[in-house]
Amino acid sequence: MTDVGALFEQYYEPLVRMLYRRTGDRDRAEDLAQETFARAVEAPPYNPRPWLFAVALNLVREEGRRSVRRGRHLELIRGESPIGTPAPDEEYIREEDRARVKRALAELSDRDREALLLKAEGFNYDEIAATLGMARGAIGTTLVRARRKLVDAYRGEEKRHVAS
Amino acid sequence: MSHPDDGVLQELLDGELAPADEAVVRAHIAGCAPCTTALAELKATQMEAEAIVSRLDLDPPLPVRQARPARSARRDLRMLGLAASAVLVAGTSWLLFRSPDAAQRPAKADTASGIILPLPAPERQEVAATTPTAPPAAAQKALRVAPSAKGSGLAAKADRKDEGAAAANEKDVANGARQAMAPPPAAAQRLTADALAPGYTTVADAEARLGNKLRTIAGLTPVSVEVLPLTADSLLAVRQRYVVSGVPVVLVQQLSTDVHYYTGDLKVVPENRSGGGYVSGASEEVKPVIRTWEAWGSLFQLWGALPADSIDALMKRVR
Repeated sequence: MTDVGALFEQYYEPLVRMLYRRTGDRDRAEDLAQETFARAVEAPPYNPRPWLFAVALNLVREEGRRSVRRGRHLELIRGESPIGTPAPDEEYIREEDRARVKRALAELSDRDREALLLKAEGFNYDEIAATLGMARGAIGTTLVRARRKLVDAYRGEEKRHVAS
Repeated sequence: MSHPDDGVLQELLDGELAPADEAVVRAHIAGCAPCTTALAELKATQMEAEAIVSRLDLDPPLPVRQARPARSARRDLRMLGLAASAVLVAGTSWLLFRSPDAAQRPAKADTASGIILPLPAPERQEVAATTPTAPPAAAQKALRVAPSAKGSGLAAKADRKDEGAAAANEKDVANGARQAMAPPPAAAQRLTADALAPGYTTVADAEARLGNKLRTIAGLTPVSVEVLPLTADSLLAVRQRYVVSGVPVVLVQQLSTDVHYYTGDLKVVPENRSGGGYVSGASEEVKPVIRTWEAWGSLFQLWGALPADSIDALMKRVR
């Protein structure tokens, strides 16, 4: 029987990272990862890594489909809104770059993006195919397309950024 | 052979070709200038794409996980069987904690009802080892010990409130949950600029920063602990995420009940899904139950997509 605790230790961080890159939203990534492991408790998987990542990616798609998906909201417990402290320059630049990467990733199709992100987590072609339900023979061309698109999109972002 | 297409070249780069195929392709490339160029271009694109993706990383990083000891792994196997019932069973875990007083922090069991993974329990033991001062004997009495998970734990359904103090069972203490002695309070706890640094951290670190004022849900280990950036007025808030019977639960503690209150992102918990959802039998949306209260000079907010009485039970366990 699978020890979910061991799975968690091994895969929580890669899963959150992949989900973060997939959705662009850190909090959402953590929530989805938690939900994924909740399901692993109910039905411990034999082949954990593809299973966990496939479930997680399905959850992303399901959430996207439901038009009532709620975004974040701020809620005041009481009293006034806070006075924000301005972020230091360094952090601002880092944040800008992250936003650029997110926008570039967003230009890929879901499938292409997911294949790329799974590869980034060390999945081999068989695992990517199993996780995404794709033919193994299609993975190579998918990755080529995804990478080219990403590089073009990111470079395009840079040009726009410089020009503005 | 004819020129291999980009997909095959990519497979070659990723080491995914069968050895025989790889030999053939390499032989072709060796004598083919366009293919050599194509391969080089693919390689360059791959490296650039990997660099771009890697710039999007978890920052701040997730807290470091501690290794799980074998003993709790066995206990977790029993927990897995129980958790599958998808009903929140309050307090079915080994709970052994001490009465909190000004100098004392509650000890935490390293397992809980649900998928809680050990974060600070081993750390806390280390801390206890290096800080030999024992808390006063009077404060050491265990408040309650929940029944064994193997035994009647699951019988404790929603009705059964385990809030009453039960006699400490010394045998259970010896056999059961690992107990961690709470570290004695650090001296001169001022909230310094470092203390206000936002980001993910551990329970022990958050406690140290908050001068041991940190409150947690007794018996559970948070999945993540995050110090939240707040106003310039040196307010501090900590957000802890738990998973209780498969449901995310969030506890936010703002270290002041003064004028400036915490405004944070309250992520609405995803809707319940039928056929394996969190709340047994529910098929429509489950809105989170939110509780807000003041205690110990802090402002607390606890929320999760659980029945109200479950959230209330968790609220009572915030120590």
